[in-house]
Amino acid sequence: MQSPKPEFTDLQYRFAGTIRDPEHVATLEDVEERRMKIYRELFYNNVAGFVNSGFPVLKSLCDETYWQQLIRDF
Amino acid sequence: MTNQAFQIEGAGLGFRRCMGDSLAEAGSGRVDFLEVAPENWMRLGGRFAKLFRRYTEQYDFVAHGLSLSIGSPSPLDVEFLKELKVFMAEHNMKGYSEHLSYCSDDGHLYDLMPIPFTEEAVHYVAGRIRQVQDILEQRIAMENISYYAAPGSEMTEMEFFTAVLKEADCDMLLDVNNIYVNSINHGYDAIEFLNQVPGERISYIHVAGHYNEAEDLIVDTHGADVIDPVWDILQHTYARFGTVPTLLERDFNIPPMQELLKEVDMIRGYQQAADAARLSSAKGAQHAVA
Repeated sequence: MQSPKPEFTDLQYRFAGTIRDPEHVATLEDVEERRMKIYRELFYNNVAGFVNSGFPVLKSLCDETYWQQLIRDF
Repeated sequence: MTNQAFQIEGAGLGFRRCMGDSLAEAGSGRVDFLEVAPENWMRLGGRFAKLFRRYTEQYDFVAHGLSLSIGSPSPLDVEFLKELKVFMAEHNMKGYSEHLSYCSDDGHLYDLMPIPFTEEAVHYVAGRIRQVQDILEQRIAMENISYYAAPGSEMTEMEFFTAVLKEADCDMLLDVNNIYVNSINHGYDAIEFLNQVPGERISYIHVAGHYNEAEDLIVDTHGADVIDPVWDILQHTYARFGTVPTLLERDFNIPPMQELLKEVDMIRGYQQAADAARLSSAKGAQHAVA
């Protein structure tokens, strides 16, 4: 069932890819940029939420930009 | 395959760890059933495990999964499903629901992405749902998610959803809040959408609050009170499909238990009103015959 990969899975990889790494993976042609922005923010804030609450002390010791970069890398 | 899943009734509440004491203090009888994310409770020991056991002995529970990723390109996590089956049996859970969505590609992203509404995706997802039902040896329910984009669509959301339900022969967890959110975000009529739902497959309903991003773009956050248009859709659902068990979801900004229970009471109130209306129209019909 896994091979060959159906066509829609390519869209799925690109959709997830542009959430994860917007600088290198472009938004799909049929998706509005402001809608993609919602996904990027939802997913970022979700991960930031559980990382922040798991590492409050480490967060307080780090510079804000550096911390955001760490979360983005995660 | 058993058809015994989702033997629940009345008005329920999404159970969170922070409610451990407050729900017990509120007294019994305020809530008819509870729902948990199995991922958050499956591997717990100690105090939380004891607390959970106490609750599952007292209440009917359903499991509402977060991580299955039924639409994912990666293989299903069979080990997780086997563990889930044991967990559900241990706590006599009344059913398992998941989101018709995917939350991972080759790695987890911890939130819900929309499966492209295509024919190919219908067959793929339905096959995977059947696989899950075979492993768990029971029917499961799929929830309609809120989505903010529909990449690669070849059909409507409802065409996609009903095709999956039919081909997988599974139940539906109807989220009325998501219908409302999607109707605004994708410009369709919520009631027209609801009227096309295959009512006989609804196992239970979710209601929740959400966050307004803009007039034509709102975000489903489960972080606010339920709003009037959502209550209207719920009432319409009862009128059309009967009084379906309904659960209040609240994940963020959780208010004091008494306030949450007021919303659970509102659900029960609408259910009783729907039952009363059905009874009186049945009586009316009898009189008409007489």
